[in-house]
Amino acid sequence: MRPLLLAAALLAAAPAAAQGVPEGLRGTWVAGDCAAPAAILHLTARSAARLPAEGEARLFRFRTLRMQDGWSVGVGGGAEAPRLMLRGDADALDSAEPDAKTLDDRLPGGAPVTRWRRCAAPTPGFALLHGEGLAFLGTLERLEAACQGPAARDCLAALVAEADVSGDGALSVAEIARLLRGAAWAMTAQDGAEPMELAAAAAIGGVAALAAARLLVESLDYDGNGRLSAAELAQDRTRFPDATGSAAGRPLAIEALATGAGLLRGLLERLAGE
Amino acid sequence: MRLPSLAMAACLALLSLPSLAQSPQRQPAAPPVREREATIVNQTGQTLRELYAAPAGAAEFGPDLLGADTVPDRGSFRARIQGAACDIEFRAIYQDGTEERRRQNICQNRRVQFGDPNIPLREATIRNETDAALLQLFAAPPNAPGRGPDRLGESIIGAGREMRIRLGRTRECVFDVTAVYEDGEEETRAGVNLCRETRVTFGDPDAPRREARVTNTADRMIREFYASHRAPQLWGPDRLGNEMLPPGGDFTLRLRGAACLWDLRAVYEDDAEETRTGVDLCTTREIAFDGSGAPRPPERRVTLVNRHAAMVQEVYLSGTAEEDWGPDRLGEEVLPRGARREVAARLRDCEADIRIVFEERRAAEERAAVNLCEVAVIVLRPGWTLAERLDEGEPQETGPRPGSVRLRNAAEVPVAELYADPPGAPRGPDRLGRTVLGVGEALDFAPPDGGECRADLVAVFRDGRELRLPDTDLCAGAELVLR
Repeated sequence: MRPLLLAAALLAAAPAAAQGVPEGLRGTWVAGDCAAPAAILHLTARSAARLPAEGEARLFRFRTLRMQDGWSVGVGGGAEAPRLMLRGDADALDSAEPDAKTLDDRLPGGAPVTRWRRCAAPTPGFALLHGEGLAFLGTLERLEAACQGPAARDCLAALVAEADVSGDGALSVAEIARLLRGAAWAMTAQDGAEPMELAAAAAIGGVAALAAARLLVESLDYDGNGRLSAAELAQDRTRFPDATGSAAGRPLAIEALATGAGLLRGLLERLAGE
Repeated sequence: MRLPSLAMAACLALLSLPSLAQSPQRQPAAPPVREREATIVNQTGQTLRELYAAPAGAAEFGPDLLGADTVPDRGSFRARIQGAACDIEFRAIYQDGTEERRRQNICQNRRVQFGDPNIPLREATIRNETDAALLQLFAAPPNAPGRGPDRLGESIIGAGREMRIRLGRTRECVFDVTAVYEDGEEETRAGVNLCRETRVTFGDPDAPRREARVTNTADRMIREFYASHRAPQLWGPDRLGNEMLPPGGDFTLRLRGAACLWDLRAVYEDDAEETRTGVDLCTTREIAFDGSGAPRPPERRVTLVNRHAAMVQEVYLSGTAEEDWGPDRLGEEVLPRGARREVAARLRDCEADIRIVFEERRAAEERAAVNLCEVAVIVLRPGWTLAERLDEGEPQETGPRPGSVRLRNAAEVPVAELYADPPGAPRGPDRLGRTVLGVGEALDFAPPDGGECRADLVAVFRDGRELRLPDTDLCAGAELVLR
């Protein structure tokens, strides 16, 4: 449940970062052999996930992005405000992660530069382990963009649109659970997890996400069709105090599930509110 | 009238007969010999400092016959020796500490001579051309079992001075002469022929002299000062001697030696030491010691809360390892009932002993080994000397730990570098080391190296901005917001 507990904090991050990572640089990059990558770097407009085959993953959520001496310098949130420097074109990319102490005018300092390349397709193991999580990064950024506007309804509509895999205009338990699994992955990656930990988090987070998704749907599904529509979410948004009472009033078999459900409610509320 | 007169005359005559008969027995005997005299003649070439005499074979000598007197070379002394013994053993101790014994029948010859005037008197002039006082001097033939007594006795030969010493009457010409300086260093001139050359010089008289004015710009007394070009193995003598160099004071350091680069070391009154290495005294004439290189013990602070029913008049705070209580930390103040007051002391260690004295010195209480790095508040109440918690009943302190300030980074970027140096001093090391003070993070920061509370504080943010906080009290116990 730890990843889920951190979900709100992750989503709280990230005011817009100007133009974002240059479009030509976005996407997935590989260090080493395409068949057996030493590391993967996934770039979205305002995020970067570096996933080594061995060692700790690192997730950057850029609060600011600027150009400096031919580098795109993204600065993440948190106490140390980590920086990732990117430079390249559509086929090749250099990255550097300067030490926290290096003054801005001395970048990249002595930080080693990593060379990245494009590959046609991810390896199966990589896709299985990270695919859903990386997809969530893009979803998250789009939700943040939509939810920064004044209209809560637009925010919730964006949420439905992002999560609605089947395209029926409503969110099933599976679709909500997928969203939560992605969040669990992202939280674990942000915490500097190694591949085994990411796999464990995905499994545990998957179970918790499913349970939380079920509880959420049950608590908000007013028409009883087993899915949450944008209208139900919007209605719920205006009646959060009542909905809280409804959720707490039902007997819960597992206390942890209540925590997960409450978190997702907080997540949705924050998305809608920001 | 005649008869009585005759009778009286007859009686007197009769009375006188027995006395005449007994006269051989009644004659007084010669008085027993209670002491004997001897004339002591000193021909040793040295001053005779002590003289003892005792019958030959006696277990021990009596008192020093000379008392407070001495017998110079070629002088004599009339000694009174208790007892009737003729065969006397004498023990003479000379100025240089050497000792000589002589046995003589003073009934046959009352002149007792020490030293043979036919043997030449050996002397030497010792010149000290070093810049350290010469405390001891030994001179002995190379094949002698030891190096003999200290020829200087209670004298010393100061730097640049000389002294004539007497080695007594001896036919020996060649000596090993060893000088011992005030710093303990020894220097030996082996195989010196004193029959040919009576002058022995230690140090190089041709070595150039170095002079520099040393100023104490610190706020503490300099107790000792050393200069050496062989430090740290050998620091040499304390150049201040018995003097102290007060704050603002100066003295002229005079050295002798071909070296230009000298290491200088000041020892302050609080035992802190400040060393300058490789000072070029060929070009430098003014040297200031400001104490910046000699960290003082950190100031430990603790807040006392008086929950006793009586006023506390004196408070003592001293390191557990110290023997003295030191000054009353309240000074002219007192700690009334119910009052709080912070007391401070410069202590090297965290652990301290505390003693409080009540009004009019009616009673006192003590508690040992209080860890001032962990205890910020001590509540003085009945039983506090044994209480498990010293701050029981008082609200928890939420501020910085004692003797520090809390630095809070309220900026948007981390503080990458932090400098805290004595006011006006050049920028020293980055006090953050390899870390940063992150956005929103706080750090309790005490004077570095236990130094002075006041410092020029500079926070360098990662975007290059510098926040300067000159002359900041790092012991204030307050929070400083960096933005």
